[in-house]
Amino acid sequence: MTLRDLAGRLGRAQGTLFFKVAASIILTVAAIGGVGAYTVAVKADQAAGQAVVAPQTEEPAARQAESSGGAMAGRAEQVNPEIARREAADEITARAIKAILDRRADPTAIAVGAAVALGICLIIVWLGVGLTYLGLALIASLAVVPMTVWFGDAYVFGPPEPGSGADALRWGDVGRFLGGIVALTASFSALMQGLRLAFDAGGAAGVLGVSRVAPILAIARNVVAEAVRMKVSLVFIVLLVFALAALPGMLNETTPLRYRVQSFLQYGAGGSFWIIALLVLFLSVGTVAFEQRDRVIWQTMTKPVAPWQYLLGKWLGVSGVAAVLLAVAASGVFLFTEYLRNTPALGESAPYVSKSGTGLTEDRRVLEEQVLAARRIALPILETITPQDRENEIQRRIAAEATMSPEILDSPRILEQLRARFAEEIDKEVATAARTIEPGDYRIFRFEGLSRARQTARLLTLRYRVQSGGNDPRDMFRISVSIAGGPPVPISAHLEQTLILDISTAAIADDGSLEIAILNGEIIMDRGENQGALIPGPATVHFPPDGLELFYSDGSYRANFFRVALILWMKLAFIAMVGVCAATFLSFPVASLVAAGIFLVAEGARFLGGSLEYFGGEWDDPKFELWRFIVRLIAQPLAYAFRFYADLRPTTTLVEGRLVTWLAVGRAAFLLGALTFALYAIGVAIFRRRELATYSGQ
Amino acid sequence: MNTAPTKSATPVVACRGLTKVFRDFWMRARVRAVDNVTFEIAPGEIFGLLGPNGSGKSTTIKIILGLLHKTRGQVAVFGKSPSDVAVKKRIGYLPEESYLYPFLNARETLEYYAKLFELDYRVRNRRIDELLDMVGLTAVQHRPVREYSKGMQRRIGIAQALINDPELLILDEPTTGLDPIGTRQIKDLILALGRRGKTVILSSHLLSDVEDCVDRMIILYGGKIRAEGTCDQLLTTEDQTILEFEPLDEATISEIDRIVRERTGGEKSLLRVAKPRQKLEDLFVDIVERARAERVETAGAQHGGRTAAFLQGDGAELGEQLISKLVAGDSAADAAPTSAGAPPQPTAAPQQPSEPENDVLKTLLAEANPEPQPAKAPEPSRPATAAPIPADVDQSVIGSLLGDGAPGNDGGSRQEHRP
Repeated sequence: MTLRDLAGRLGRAQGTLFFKVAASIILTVAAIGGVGAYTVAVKADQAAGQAVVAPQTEEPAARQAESSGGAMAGRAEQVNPEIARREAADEITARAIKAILDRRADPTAIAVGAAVALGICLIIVWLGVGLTYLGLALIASLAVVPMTVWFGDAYVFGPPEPGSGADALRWGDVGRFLGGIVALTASFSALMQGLRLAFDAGGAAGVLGVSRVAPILAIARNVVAEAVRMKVSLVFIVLLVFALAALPGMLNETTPLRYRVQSFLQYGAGGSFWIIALLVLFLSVGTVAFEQRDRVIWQTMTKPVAPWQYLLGKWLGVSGVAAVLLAVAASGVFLFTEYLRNTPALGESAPYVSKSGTGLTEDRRVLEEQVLAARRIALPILETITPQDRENEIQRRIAAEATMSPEILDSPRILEQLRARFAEEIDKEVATAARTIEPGDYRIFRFEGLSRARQTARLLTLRYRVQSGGNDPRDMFRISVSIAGGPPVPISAHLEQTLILDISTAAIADDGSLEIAILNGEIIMDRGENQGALIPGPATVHFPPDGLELFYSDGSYRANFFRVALILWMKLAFIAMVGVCAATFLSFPVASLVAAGIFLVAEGARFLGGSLEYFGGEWDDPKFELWRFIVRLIAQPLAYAFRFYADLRPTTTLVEGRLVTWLAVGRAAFLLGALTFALYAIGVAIFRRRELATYSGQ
Repeated sequence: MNTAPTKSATPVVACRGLTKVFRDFWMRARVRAVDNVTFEIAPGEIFGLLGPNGSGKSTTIKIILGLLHKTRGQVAVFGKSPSDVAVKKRIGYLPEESYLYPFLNARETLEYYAKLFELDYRVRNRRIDELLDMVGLTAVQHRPVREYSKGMQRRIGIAQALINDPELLILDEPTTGLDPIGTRQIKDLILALGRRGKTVILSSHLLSDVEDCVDRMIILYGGKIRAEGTCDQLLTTEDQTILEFEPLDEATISEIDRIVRERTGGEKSLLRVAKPRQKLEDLFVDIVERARAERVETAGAQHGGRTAAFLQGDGAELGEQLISKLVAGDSAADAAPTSAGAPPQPTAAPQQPSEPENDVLKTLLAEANPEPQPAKAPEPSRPATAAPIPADVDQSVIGSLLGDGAPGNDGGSRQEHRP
């Protein structure tokens, strides 16, 4: 039997139902068994390891053992309440630390990874190319395994020059890069095939009596085929795969782990989004524009295909391709982040095991609580002014103005303008005053709605930024913070620098509120006598609107990651519709420019909106300029229409470890869906009126 | 030629005062491509649109298809507006050039168009198999369309136009880029569809194409109708008569002339005697047929020729056969002789079943048209067109023609001179 015959036989074998069923069973059993075995092994390891770790966290662990629930509360009543409260706080802190350390043994990441791999493998098997992929994987591993395992530490171009500080390229890096490319390419092609099969199900929809769906899915499937087989799209896809595979090698291993994870999330998720977005732009514009230019559309539109079906099919196809690319990129980023998480942080001898023996390193704590987290933000409830006081103040100011220029009282229009201006001024002044503390004075900031945070055993984080005078960053202020009536803790704060303070959830009152008193100055306690001396700060301090926020964890980072990916896809689907809509009436180059312009405006709508405030060009501007007026006429509606698109900022949210709630996902879906649908309606209206043929005579 | 079974009151296409003016960017009238054109096409008609390049044929067709909007006048297809999506289910269209997705192969292309008609999976696959066989692309169906020659792309275009078994088939210059065999096939196909009561609009500037097929035509020039009528109306020369004989000697011809003069009292006489010349198309077809019979290899499209079963209107039982064949496995279907499209018949090369048989269509046509020469029917493997008759033909034929019959000689004498 020749090799050719063998290949032929294997090719036929992998297409049989028996092979598919058998391979699926084997793969599923292997995946479940593997994850189960890993979980058992890790738990056992953890049980053994706790004996070693125990001395480091002895005190909290011991306390946790002796107290639980009612026992703790009972004790708190008998003993000095202040001491009991502090003990409870310590205990919660210890529990929070233990919860972080326990994550080392969390098999969720492995389970997610195994589920992703299993899904891709099953798609491959059911496409009838299981053995082909297996063969390719074996060939790839022949190159990758020796590079990473046996020659991993050997240098490719020789060792680095001493003293240069830079690390030279090792074979292990090359091997991992190649392995990454193979894995990403295989996943991508398998998912693409899966997508095509899904769109092929259009016939099934016809069988079920769902009419008008089959043409849409046929058109969508055609877009997928176009994306894979046309070289332009392939360039972007290859670029994405290479970038993702190369990114881990770019991380500097000497920086703290939290920064490495943050950069990887930033560049991995953000970079992937931009590459996919550009592909989506060109694909969506190209698939509609080229079809009209090359007249292929004549044959499609003379079949029973309505304009709405045609455009919907095109959009669906591009959005599907975007979903596959995003799924590959997001899975890659997610799994590699989990890998990074399981490498030693700064000051750790092994993952989650600190060198110094304090139980938890700063790097690990920040990583787990602030980066790989899903945190909500609470803002302080600030003092406001009553409507009556506000009205009185407005009247007072108008009266003051009238003493200087009495004629204003005769003009209702000017009076109305003055009222509006004063009202705005007063609101701003009140809000600023509520965040301002005079030297030696203190102010209590009250946060509410923290009941959920109280139930979790995780730490709260106060993020604050102090401003004063000219905000010279060299100036350092001493302020004191008292949490929920506790003793004031003195803090040195550089101006305009964002600082954090960890707070135990024990400080939250029963009604879910938390009061934080901030003193502009410092109290020097006199030991022995229960008295202290107040040293006031040198000047008034102020917290900007985003300079006093309380973060608390709510939900897991992994679910958050999924929701962020969902929002990213919605943005891509919106961009796809921008491209499709532009190409209904414009040629490829023009439509690409228009679509890319809209995309950039949408991404930068926050910046654009901010800039317009100082741009001028308003109608009642004393220095009216026509060109500024025209620019404003175009830019203002765009900035307004896309402001919420820009406010989504899914990547930033992910990097800062902020929670994206399902409500936020729903809101994004609704708003982006409405915008997408509006564009779709415009596109269909244009397309219906359009003559697809042109004059063909001389 | 046309034996349309039913003639409903609604014309398939009705244009009244149809005018199309192309405008430039500033909305100034640039070209009046179609100017006040009025015509109707009845169901079952094979209708010709004739005219030189730029005479408005394609523009008229594109208005009928909804690819262009009329400037003035009325146009209705099956009694409805051309933009009505439901109307398009009944139309097949072949554009004047092949506009195909370069990244799809032949089979995927047909699958795509079949899905646009929401054809069921089985029907779809059966029709694709039959159409690929008919246009002779079964062997190259998995090659991307961009690698195809112009003629092969044209064949795919024809197949996609027929995928929905259309009631109205619009063919814009269907024979451009096709070899004479393909051209002949198209003409035969048009005639076969016409017999089934389908309506065909044929636009062409190749006059022989039109002449061979159409029932009625309009001739356009400068966007206006210059002539309209049936082929007979437009082409018949009423003051002459043509008789055709087997080769005759001088004496016989003189005798015929004498009889004619006698009967008409000397008013009419024989004007011209000539030996019929074979058309080049016929000669070419004949040469290729012979080469194929000798199994000369070719790299291009195979000449299928078997009109797809579903287009012949007897698709039900044939479909059953095909389905059972498909169930048996695709590879088997490719290798097996695709005899489903035609009744059993003697073939020239039974040992090479994968090569489609060319003459099936003609057999079918001969069967569907039982009138012509029943005596010649027992030669199914021969092209229907008459071959040139060698000069040294048996003289007894003349005798039989003149009345003293010698039955049986006819077939035998021809057989001798066949290769």
